[in-house]
Amino acid sequence: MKEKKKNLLKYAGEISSPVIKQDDIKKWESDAVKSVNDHFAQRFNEIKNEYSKLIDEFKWNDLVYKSNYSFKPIQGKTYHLYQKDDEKKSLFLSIIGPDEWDMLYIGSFNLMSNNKWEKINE
Amino acid sequence: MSKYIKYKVKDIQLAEWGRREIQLAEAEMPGLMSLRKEFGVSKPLKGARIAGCLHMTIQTAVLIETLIELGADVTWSSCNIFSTQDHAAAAIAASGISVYAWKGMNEEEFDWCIEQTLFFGEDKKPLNMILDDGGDLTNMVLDRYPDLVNDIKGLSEETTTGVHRLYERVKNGTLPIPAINVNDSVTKSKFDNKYGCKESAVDAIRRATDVMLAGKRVVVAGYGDVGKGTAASFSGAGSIVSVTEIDPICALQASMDGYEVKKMSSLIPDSDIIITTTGNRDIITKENFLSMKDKAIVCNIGHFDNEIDMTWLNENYGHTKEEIKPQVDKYTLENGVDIIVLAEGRLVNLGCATGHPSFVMSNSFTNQTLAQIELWTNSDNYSNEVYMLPKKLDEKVAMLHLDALGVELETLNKTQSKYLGLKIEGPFKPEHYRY
Repeated sequence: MKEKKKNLLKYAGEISSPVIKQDDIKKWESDAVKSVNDHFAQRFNEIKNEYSKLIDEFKWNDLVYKSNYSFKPIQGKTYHLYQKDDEKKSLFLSIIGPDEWDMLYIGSFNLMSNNKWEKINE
Repeated sequence: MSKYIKYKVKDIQLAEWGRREIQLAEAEMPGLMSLRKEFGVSKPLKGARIAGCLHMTIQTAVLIETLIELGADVTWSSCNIFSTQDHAAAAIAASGISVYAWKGMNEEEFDWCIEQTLFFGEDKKPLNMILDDGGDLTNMVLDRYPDLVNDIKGLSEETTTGVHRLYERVKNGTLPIPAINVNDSVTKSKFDNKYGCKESAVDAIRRATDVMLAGKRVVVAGYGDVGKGTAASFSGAGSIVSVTEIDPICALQASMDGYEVKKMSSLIPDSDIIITTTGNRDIITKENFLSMKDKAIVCNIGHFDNEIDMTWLNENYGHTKEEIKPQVDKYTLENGVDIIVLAEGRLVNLGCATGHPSFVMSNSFTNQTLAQIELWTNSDNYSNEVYMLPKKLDEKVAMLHLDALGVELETLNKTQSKYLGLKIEGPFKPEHYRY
């Protein structure tokens, strides 16, 4: 059997040799993987949240744009979405605020300069 | 009850534009401006809390400010969901008047707006006068707020439909306050309805569609005052006008004015434009729609949208509705025919144009103001009936508009006055005279 070369050993081969402390690659590796996984998890959550926010925004915009209104909304102004108490349960947009009458209130929206309806959190 | 809201308009920033137009209109409304001069100091409407429900336009703004100049507190809503001129409403709101009106509201908002006008200021003092157009405010007060009736001294009604509702109430014994029928003052119906529509009917069609009117076949449904003005409007534009009528007198008038008078079903297939003016319901029905030619234009200049069966059209062909521009919708029928409906069947001259010119509205609104003064200052003289303004006041309204047109009026001398049995200063015609 071929003798192992001493200088290739990961521990000292002579009594007088200095202590050889091997780098803990496993730990580093495990720490690195954990850290990179944390990063990906965080980014994934960020993207997931962004995606879900986007979907949410898309749904609200779709709802507002498909609701009934016969006036031209003005950018920068707030409008309120209500549901009618009729068979169709149709939605309509109004300039009347939710505290100003007794209607089934869905939400309030600002019309942004890019014509996106931004939901105002009450 | 909900909280007090000072005003509700689409965009208060339109106020300056509205104010500039109001100033322009004032110059064209000599009747109202004369009343401001005559009564501005004595303020005969002091103490009156007038709730008004009438198209919130620039001309109405001049009426509102006249009522205020004469001492009244005023709240206002519009009597039609599309008729508000947003800059007029903004100017009125900006001057501190409680107005609840915007163009393009829905039925729920319409009721809400009227309801806001019933109570005045933070302390919510109830109205004590009604100024109405079409009877929606009157109906809301009498049917839903009957407790408010005791404080109300009277109401003045602007239009045929509202007056009809009032006479129905008298017949049924459900009119609890005196009313003045402003509509049938000669200087109202013979001027606003006729000369107003004569100017604005064609204006609305042109603004909405840019269609060439000369040579086009137009059906005018109804030949009352509105129908007469509307027919004259299209006739003046070179259209070939036909009329439908139920009343033999009006039918004969139309015929002798040179219009063909036929049944709607005979006229529809060849017509380019069909306009209703009747004040009645179901004038354009399913059968009529189905026999229209391609790109026929359908609209209404009567008070309500039920003259055209929009319910049937929307229920059956609502899915084909395409908005070409605001107040101009195209429906496509099964046979491939496109129908252009203006202002969703509501008042086309208000939805698609700017309504009647200021001058003619000055006639109507001077009558309204005189009716309000009469009911507020002499309410004890009136019982719960529908009254007309006295002939003398009708003549006064006309008189207040003559100078602006440079009219020179002859005066009876004593011999002539004696010969006719009339006072030199009038009234000049008996009540039954039809003009």
